[in-house]
Amino acid sequence: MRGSFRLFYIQKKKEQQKNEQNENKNNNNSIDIQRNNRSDEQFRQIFLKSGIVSQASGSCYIEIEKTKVLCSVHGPRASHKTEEFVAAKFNCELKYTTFSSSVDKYDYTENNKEKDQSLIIREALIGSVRLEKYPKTVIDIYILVLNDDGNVMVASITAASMALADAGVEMYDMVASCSSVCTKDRILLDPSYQEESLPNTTNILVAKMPALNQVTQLVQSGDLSYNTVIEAVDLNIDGCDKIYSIMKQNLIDSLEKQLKDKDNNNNNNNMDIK
Amino acid sequence: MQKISNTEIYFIENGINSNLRADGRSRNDYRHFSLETGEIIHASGSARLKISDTEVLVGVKAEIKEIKNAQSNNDKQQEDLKRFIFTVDCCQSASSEFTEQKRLDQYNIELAKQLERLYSHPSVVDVDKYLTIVPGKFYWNLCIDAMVLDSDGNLLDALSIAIRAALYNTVLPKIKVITSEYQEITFEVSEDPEDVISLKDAIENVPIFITLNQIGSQSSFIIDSTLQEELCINSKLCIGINQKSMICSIQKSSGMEGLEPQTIIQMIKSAKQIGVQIISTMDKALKLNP
Repeated sequence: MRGSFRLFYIQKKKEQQKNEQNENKNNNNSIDIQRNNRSDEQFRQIFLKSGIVSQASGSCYIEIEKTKVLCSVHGPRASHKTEEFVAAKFNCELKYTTFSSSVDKYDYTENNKEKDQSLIIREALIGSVRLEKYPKTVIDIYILVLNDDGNVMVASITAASMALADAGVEMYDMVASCSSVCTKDRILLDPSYQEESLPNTTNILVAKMPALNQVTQLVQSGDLSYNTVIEAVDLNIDGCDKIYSIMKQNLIDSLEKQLKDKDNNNNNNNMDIK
Repeated sequence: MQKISNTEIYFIENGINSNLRADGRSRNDYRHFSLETGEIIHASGSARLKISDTEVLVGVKAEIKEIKNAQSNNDKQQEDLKRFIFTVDCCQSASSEFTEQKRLDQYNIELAKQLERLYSHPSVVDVDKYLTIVPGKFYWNLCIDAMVLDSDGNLLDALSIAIRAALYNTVLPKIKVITSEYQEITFEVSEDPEDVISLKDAIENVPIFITLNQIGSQSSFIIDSTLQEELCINSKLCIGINQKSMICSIQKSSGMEGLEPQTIIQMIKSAKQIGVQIISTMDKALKLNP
């Protein structure tokens, strides 16, 4: 028992050293980066689980390797204000936890970066929800970033869309999104935190409803030529389709699981009565 | 909140589909605008822009920023990006949309963040050449405060054009750096008003926003929208363009509907053409009246 533990410890230490070496390499020639075990257009592993918060109408937890985001949807619930009459009010709030990043500092109040990102997420999702079906109500989306290792916006939009579907809110389509970092001659999909914060690069985020073929959000910051923009947007749109298929599969799986659980419960209840 | 009736929407949509807008412009026409620079004497640079009833006032204030223990190169680069600090303040009286305080705050942040994103790339202004006092230690920080005095649509474009003009107008005092025995750095500011660094040549790469509003059918979009037209837009794409027709920022904002990828490509194409035109006319006008 003890021996195995020691072996585990040694292994971990070796891994750490390796990582440190890699980091040093990356720092030396910051533009020419090496990705660990994946190509430029390859995604990291994605883990999705919906229905995780019991008190919310719908919720979803997403992991893109080290990036961890939890999203819950409350509503449609009755609105206290009377101003919005025809359609539901749609609110979105993103919050980084204080321990989510070792570089950026976050506290309990909402800062401007979070407000800005909330607006971008709201803009990406609002086109997909049939708000006119829920007059006099509000739909609140709360997104909590537990750990930030790049690609937070994509994780948030994906989780929020899954949570909306989990809550049973009527939608035209789910919103899938994808982001990339463009360096001088490369386009890196699904960037990590390190890749996102490289100097002289451009970030592009695309959110899309694949069934309707409509782009609901497009954000770019940085300097790019026309051709590169078009190329990057096309790549991201393809990435959206990939993420969408994962989302769809996950939604079906979770529904099947729910049905199974229901059946099991019913059977158990019947047994009890007998 | 301002409301618009269905018949008005129908009128505007049909007009745009047949390429004729309520004020006689076609889809790709810009309204005439007037630009004045150097209106605020206490600011390092200022400009005031009027497009029809839209009126914005921009002041640039320069301050010295000390960077403490910037160890790695990466940190320095991060700091470099923050040479510009934007605040946007919409007057409550400017539009009936701004009466609600919470919505107004959100709108101010949205505009400021969009402008920040436009200026986020280090190639916008050559920091090393124009804004460095002591490399790695002291830099000029430019606080850019914009006020929206009156609104008749197309705010973001107006703000970006006014900021570009204000930067053209900005002058920084020349500074003599004196290092004392204990490595302490003190500054001597030149008092001669003629002896200044002008940012005139630095704005070459400074981009402006072109906002494309999609109204009616998917493929019809307009630039320089009026307030009335803004009330019936389906979606809106703000694209930042600089003189070399590089695309510096894109953001889709405040629209309920999505855009087809084909339309986006068309929009970027026309924004590129229009943006370069506006920048060149603007530069001509600025050079004529310094």
